[in-house]
Amino acid sequence: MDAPTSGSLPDDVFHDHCAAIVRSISTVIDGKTEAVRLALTVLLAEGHLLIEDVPGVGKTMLARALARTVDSTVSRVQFTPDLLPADITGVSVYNQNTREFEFKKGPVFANIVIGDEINRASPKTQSALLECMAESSVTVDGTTYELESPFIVVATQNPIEMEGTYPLPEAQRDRFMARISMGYPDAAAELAMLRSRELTSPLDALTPVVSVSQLRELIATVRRVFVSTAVEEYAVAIAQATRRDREVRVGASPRATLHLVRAAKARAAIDGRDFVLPDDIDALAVTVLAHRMIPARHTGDTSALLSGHSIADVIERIVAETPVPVHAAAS
Amino acid sequence: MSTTEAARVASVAKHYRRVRLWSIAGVLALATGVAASSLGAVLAEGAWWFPFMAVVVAVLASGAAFRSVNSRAWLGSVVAAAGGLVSLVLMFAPQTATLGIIPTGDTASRFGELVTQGQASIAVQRFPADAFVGIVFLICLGALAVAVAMDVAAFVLQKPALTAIPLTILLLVPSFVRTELHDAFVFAATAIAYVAVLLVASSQKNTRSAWPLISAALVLSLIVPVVLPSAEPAEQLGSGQGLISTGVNPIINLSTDLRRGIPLRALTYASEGGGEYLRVAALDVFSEDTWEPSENEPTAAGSVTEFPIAPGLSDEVPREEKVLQVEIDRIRGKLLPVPYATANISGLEGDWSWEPDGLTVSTDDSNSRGQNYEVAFVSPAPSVEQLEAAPTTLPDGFERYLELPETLPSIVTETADAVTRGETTRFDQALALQSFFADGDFTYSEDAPVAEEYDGSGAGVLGEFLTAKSGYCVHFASAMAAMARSLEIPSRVVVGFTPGERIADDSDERRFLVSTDNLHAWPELYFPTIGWIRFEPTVSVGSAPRFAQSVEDDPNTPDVDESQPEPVATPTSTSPATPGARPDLPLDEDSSAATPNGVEISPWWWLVLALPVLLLIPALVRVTRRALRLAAVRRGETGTAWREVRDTAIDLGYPLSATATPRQQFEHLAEHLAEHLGDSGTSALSSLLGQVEASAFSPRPETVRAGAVTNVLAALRASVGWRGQLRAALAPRTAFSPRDRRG
Repeated sequence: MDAPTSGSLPDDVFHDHCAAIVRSISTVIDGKTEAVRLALTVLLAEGHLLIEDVPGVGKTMLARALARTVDSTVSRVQFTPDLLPADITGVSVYNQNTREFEFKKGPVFANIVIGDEINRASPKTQSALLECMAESSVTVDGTTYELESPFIVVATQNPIEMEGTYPLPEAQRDRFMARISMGYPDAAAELAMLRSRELTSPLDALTPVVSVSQLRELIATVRRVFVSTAVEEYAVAIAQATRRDREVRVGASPRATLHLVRAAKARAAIDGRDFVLPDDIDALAVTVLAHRMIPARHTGDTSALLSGHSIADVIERIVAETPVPVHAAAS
Repeated sequence: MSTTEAARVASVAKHYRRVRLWSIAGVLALATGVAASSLGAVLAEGAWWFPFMAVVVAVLASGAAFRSVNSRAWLGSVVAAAGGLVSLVLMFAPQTATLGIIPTGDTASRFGELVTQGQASIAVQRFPADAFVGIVFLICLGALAVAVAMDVAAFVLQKPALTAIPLTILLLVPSFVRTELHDAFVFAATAIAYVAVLLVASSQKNTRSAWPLISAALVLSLIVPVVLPSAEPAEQLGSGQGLISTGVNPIINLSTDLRRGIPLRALTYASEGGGEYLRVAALDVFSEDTWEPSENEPTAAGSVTEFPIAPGLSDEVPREEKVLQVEIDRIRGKLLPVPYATANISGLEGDWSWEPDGLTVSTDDSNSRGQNYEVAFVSPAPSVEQLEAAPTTLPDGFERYLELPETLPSIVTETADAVTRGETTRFDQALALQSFFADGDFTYSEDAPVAEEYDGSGAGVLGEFLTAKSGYCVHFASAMAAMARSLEIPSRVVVGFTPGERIADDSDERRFLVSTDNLHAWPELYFPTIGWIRFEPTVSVGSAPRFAQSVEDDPNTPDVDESQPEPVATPTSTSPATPGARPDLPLDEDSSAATPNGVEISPWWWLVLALPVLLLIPALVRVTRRALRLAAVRRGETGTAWREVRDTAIDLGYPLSATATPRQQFEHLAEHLAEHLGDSGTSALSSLLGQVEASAFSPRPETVRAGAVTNVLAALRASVGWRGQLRAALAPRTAFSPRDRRG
């Protein structure tokens, strides 16, 4: 959260960096431009990303490619049912030489943490990520350790009906800025994939296109994107509408509104604008809000709960019904 | 955090609910107040309106206040009614109530008294009535009922459209009690207020579906005032309170009844022939003060099934036998209107008997009101020769028809002599007298005798009347009868009705409506072997029988009694008589407004003029809104530019979502309009989009030129045909869309 707030980048530099990242990732993820763009949006908005889909469609590939294009520290945690919290945050070890307990940093101490199949771990372990994601810090044995900056969690998960999965706690779901799904590739993309993976792993060919400091500059640039009062009101109106809606049991949290506006700023910057349009809010509403909301018609069909299809429909309806305030921007 | 957020949301929602509640209550009160002003037609002054509104406001405000803290709608209406009751108590009987507001038994009895007072007050007054406390109380009771009905319709039933029912009842009250139907302006104003009720009280989603209803309300409000009078012409007259009392001597009340502001419906009758004069009383005793009936007791044995032959009528005189079907409406008294000379009457209720000299019909134990009877009569039709040849010797007992009071001014006899100089027969003398009045320089006036203090029928006032040459039927009849007596012609004054106004015409039956306006007095002169003959000296009123008309009269003029469809003649008079108006009376303000024709014509014109204006209201609203928005654009409010483009597109029929973002809407338009708009139109659109987005959402607002907006609007309009443009101009869908601030 305390990323350097250096001056924002010139438009063309920002645009070049973004284009480079998208191009780089697209070499390993075929035909998923929208997913890649959303991933970049979340990255630039300094949010945590949840990638949800069936196994084998490239979730981990996207996460790793995203991490690899930035020249930063990356760690990867494969979540399993027997994973313990200490395996993530780190552990204090008794050093016989110094005769003291010494903190051995866990995998969260990195710029980009890839949590693979996060919902295979027990809720206890999942919760260990909570503090990291919210506070960008870890407390072990009473000592608080600051995490790297930027600190971004990219988690993948399987749909909940898959065997051996635990649903993410609501509090943790709320800490992810956005949830995206990959979807199956079309025939051409799948064919191209077959050919390109014949010899080597395409990830090996990826080289970082931006440095950590450049990433910080990109993030700083996004933070300076202007949000008019009208757009803020619009975002708030949508969030409030989700709380009033009959079909929704738990609506969007205030943190969700915050995430929505931050993601919209990133989207505006990627589009080459220095101000947010209501269209940015519209475009991101489902991605940012759906995974946090609980439908009222919760029948025990957990797919409806987590896959978010029904709730996505509700959000789209709410967005369509909420009038867009158009008045002079606040000075 | 989310709890406080939710609380904030809840409190905002509550606030809006309250605002809505109170604005609905306000607009309901407004509509009721506007509709109530229609009562101004029947009440003399406007002060009653304030207590009326006090009750209405008390009702609606209590309801709204209760509902803003408790959402049970029906309980709100109960509280509203209680609030209205308290306001009644406070205004009319605070001293009887506990703590001034809680009603007690005394309050109830006080209210009862007020109701009785009010009813009595209405019964005795003419309209416009003075709003005495009893009437105001009745009006306030009505206010309570109407306001509670409005409250229930809008809040309990949630159907604001139903408020039309109490409003309509309120509007129609004057037409129940007064000829003059209703003020078209009040009707239109109420219709507009009703539209306001619908717009405010309907939820915004329903506004469009309310339009058919609103249109229907407007159209109805225009048609109802026009249709009502012509649909029920007979009901116009005198369906209100009040009675014509014949009393002992009808001539006493005659002038009062003649001056009624609102004519009362006296009776109707059906005739196979034309209209007939109907006699109520024959007055043969002439005194200093008045004409009176003689004290001839009606022959108790004289059953009305058989009358004696008319006095003096000999067998040689030709006669016509006729029948009338009479329905008495609002005449109360012991005397019955009958034509001359009645032969028999059937269908009467009660014991009735006739008086042998005057052939008038009276009762001791019954009443004329509501009687429905058939009367057969013999109408003498002597020839002029027979009349001129009538002998001069009078039968025994006829001296009393020649008696004159000693105080009779000499001008009466002198004038009689002067007028009849040169006439040889009695009949010619009588004709000369009649034309002296009717064709001379006399004028008809009901007011002059009162103003100059010679009102009345007695001998004392005849001098002034003959000098002033202005008076009404009583004076003419009295003067001619007195002058006839001075010439030794037996005479009497008869009070009754002129034939009235034709209201329906079947193939074999004509129906006539007789009102207080037809009340009349005329002289009857006696000619031996002929009998009593009616004359008509009153200038501008009625007509004498053919045989009693001067020979100089145009022979082509058909006898009014026989065939003239409009029996009441309308010769030149002091007043410019409207056809069908009350020729008996000079037209004052009241009478001209009460003219059936006046009611029929003016609303039609009004309809013709007002309908286009009303139909143009949406277009006018839209044009005004556009002008205001363009002005706002010039002031730099760019958001309005987008709203105007969006609304114009919606008006033109493009299915734009009002809640979409500007960009989504422009993309939608550009997609549908690409070929119509052309490159220039599309680029105008997109540059306008850029400016709008920049000014609304970016840190560097750009100004939108009003010219750019009008260019885009013109491009949009050009993309549809002229029909689409016309429809958009005349029936703009967004004319009553939510306020601009909602975006």
